[in-house]
Amino acid sequence: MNLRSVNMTDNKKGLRRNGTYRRLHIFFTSSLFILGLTFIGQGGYMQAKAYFAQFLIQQAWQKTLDDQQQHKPWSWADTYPVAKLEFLASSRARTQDQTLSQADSADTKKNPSLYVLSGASGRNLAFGPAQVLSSAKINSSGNTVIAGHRDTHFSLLSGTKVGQLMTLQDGAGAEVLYQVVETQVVHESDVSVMADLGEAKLTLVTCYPFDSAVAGGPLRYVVTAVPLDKVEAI
Amino acid sequence: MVRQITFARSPMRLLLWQRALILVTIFYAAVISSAMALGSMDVEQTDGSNRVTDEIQQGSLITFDASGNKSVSLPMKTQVTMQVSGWTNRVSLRHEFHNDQLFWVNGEYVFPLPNEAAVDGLKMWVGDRVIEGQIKEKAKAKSLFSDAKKAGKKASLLQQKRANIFSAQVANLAPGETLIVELSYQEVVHYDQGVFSLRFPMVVAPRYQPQGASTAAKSPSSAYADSAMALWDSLRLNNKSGQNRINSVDIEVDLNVGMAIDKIDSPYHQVEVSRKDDEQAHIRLTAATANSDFVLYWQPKLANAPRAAIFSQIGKTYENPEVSELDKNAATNDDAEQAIRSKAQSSEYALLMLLPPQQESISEVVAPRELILVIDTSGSMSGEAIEQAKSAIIYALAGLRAEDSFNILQFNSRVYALAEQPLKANAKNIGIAQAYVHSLQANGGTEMSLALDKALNQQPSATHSLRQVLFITDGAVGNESQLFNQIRNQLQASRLFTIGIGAAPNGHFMQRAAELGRGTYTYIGKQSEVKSKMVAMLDKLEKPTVTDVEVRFADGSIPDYWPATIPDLYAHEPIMVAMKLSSFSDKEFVVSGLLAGQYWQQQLSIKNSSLINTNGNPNANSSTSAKGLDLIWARKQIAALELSKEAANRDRIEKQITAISLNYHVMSAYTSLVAIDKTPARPDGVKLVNGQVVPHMPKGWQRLPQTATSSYALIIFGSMLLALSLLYGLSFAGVSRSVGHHVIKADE
Repeated sequence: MNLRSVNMTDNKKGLRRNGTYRRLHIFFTSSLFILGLTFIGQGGYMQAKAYFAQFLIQQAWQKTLDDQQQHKPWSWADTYPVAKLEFLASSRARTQDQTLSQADSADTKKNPSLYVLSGASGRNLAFGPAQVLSSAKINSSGNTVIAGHRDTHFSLLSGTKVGQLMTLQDGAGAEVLYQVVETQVVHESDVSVMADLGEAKLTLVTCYPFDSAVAGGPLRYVVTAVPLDKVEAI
Repeated sequence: MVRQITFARSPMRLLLWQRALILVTIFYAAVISSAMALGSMDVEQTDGSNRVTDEIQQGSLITFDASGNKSVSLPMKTQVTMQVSGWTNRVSLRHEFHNDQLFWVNGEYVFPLPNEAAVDGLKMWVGDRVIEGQIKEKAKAKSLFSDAKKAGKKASLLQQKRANIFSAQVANLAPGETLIVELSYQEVVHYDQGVFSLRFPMVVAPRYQPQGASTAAKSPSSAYADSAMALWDSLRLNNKSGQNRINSVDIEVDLNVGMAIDKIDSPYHQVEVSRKDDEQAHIRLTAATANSDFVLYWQPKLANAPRAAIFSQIGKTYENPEVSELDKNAATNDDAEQAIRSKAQSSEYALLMLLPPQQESISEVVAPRELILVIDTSGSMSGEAIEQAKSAIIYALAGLRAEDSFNILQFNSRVYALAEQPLKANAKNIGIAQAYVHSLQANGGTEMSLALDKALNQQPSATHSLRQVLFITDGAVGNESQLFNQIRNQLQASRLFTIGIGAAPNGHFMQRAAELGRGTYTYIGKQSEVKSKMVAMLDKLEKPTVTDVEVRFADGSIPDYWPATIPDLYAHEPIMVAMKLSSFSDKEFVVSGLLAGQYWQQQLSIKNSSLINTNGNPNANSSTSAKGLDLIWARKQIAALELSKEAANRDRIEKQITAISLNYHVMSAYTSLVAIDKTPARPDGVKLVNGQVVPHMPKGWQRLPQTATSSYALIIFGSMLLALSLLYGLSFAGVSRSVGHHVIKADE
């Protein structure tokens, strides 16, 4: 009996200690769980924001096309769409006529298209690719620079090859067909890619490498495209 | 007993590995969060990208293209010779391209030059022969160059990429061959606070970019590109040794100041100085590592400090009969050619130095200032930009004196003012202002027009105070030309100083706005720059100025001078005005302005290239023969035209600039210098590889936008934590189950 009661107290102690551990464990597990959810939520929010904002921007762009005025995608926004960028599903241009017909037929298919905002500030870039303010106007005879996030909108730049076609539509509805002539990786301080040499050019900038998980790297992936009728001249 | 022991120990044993699990979790959390905190660090696991960042930091010539291919280096030597005579500096810059590869190479090299450099000459040395470069319209020069490139001829092309960034291209460099490309430019030396200085921007960490990809787009068959890429690949292996090569720069300066020199100093480099006599010196810098700009200071003996000066020169440096004949034949109504027409041969070019009166008692005439601080709090300023803007304003407030007054305006979709009327700059008001600034938040639209209206329209009718408007923004506006008109119409006696904030502000807009507002433009790119840039700018603002400066002939007519709007004069900082005079015009000038609200004037005259200032003393450097002043005149005119460029007048301005550039043989953004050897050098059918040596751009100008979020990292990290918590939860469930089991057994 004696032995048994001693055993009982041991058991009780063990259970009590066990209870403390249990609470600790539950606390630890649940806080880990919540923390994990928070991070996934944050990351997912960024992705979702990038994805769904494009729908609102698309509506604003439609209004802009209708009345040639600037329209904010949502009332508290500090930006407005300035262009629509469409990546055409064709690889190489043989002749211009061919390409143009190709482009026409491509219109019927679903091409990835993006709505470009005005001003490449960190806030705007979360919603869509954005035009760098100091660069030339859309489809003007200068260097138009558009930046976008590598992990959302401009993730499709990773597949860009020389010869890739894209159209850029300005606020008046006019479309210019561009062809990629060069892709390069530059350091973020190398602003020569933004230089305006008075020649019509479209420069797309995104972060590099594409599969890096963390933001803030010093390299940029730069895609240079020129209007198709000028490809031969270069 | 045995069971009890196991039971007693079992939670402990399980806890040990659970502890390990906790440790692992904490370790993960620490590693990943610190990695994310170090936002600038690239924590890539793939070794390719690690190598890229490493090598760029080492300043090597190696780089990777998008597909991860490595390229070879094209060694280059730079030799700079400067001849300073009086106020002008003639610089010749020799780039030696050496091809130590086994194939023919085309090279491209981008380099910075001083902002105001008038680039006029290009020479290419092939063996003993010298080929002089010709100035051509950009597209023409480019096609000439590419024709020569195709034909296998040696050629060189010099292009202006921005106001201060140039690129030199060479074609058909044979294996083992060295090609020297020499360019020359003219500049005016800088003079501030009694010290002369010149600056030569150096090339930092050049990189070399393969262009295989772009070649593929141009050539009909991709076989050519493939072979080029294969060549790069093979070279990647045997080029390891050359990875840490840095461009070496030799600089020689011939200093002929024309007045007794007190001391000579180069703050960033060890230079050898040999003094010939009081007025002349030779400075040499050999094999410098190009990691910071070369700066040379020299100070004249105090008694010889210049006060005001005119230098002049008759005729142009480049007489170009072809162009002038073309002009005569051209239709008379073309205003682009009108700008350069007439009397070019006999014209006289002058450089006029304007210095405000340097009286000891000048601080007494300083009028109280009224400082209007305008801060952009639109959504585009959110994040780092608004913080920089806030600290810039705090610095500006700190510089106010008791007799000054100030106000703060913030604008986004609307304009808000700190106070209705400007406040006295006493401690209480500044305290209120500081609290107000700290509370600012960035949100909403950018209605700059309203803010300008409020800032410029509140002007008191009669005032002795200097009214200075500090406009802090990122320039995110669409209606530029409307705003320019507004500044022009509403400015009155105010001065508009623009401060650009953030990664990529609209620099052109703000520079132009400041020019129209007769102020200056300052760019602040980083938080760490706020202090130095603001101090430099405020220092200037706090000193007395001569405003509304004008230059005219003694008879009242206005000479042809650039910049057309002469900026205000600040103490100790002269402004150089380039003038073009017809041979028969008056040689007497009157410079006038307002000094603290009082009319002030100064008379100057040219007499056979000598100069006389108001006191009648011939200046010490009167004997210096001035050369290349027409180049400086043309460069200043081009700069002024470039700034006035808007969407509406773009074509006309470009035409005008091209015409001036061709006439004076000075490079512009629309013209290039091209030198082509007549005889083909590369045999037919021999392969040619394109390359590019791209150095880092001058620091502190701009950066490419930041274009990534950490969403992937967050999701990965979050999933990892979830997985761990599940694992942990499961393991705990396992423990409690086993504990319960033991208890029951013990009860038996």
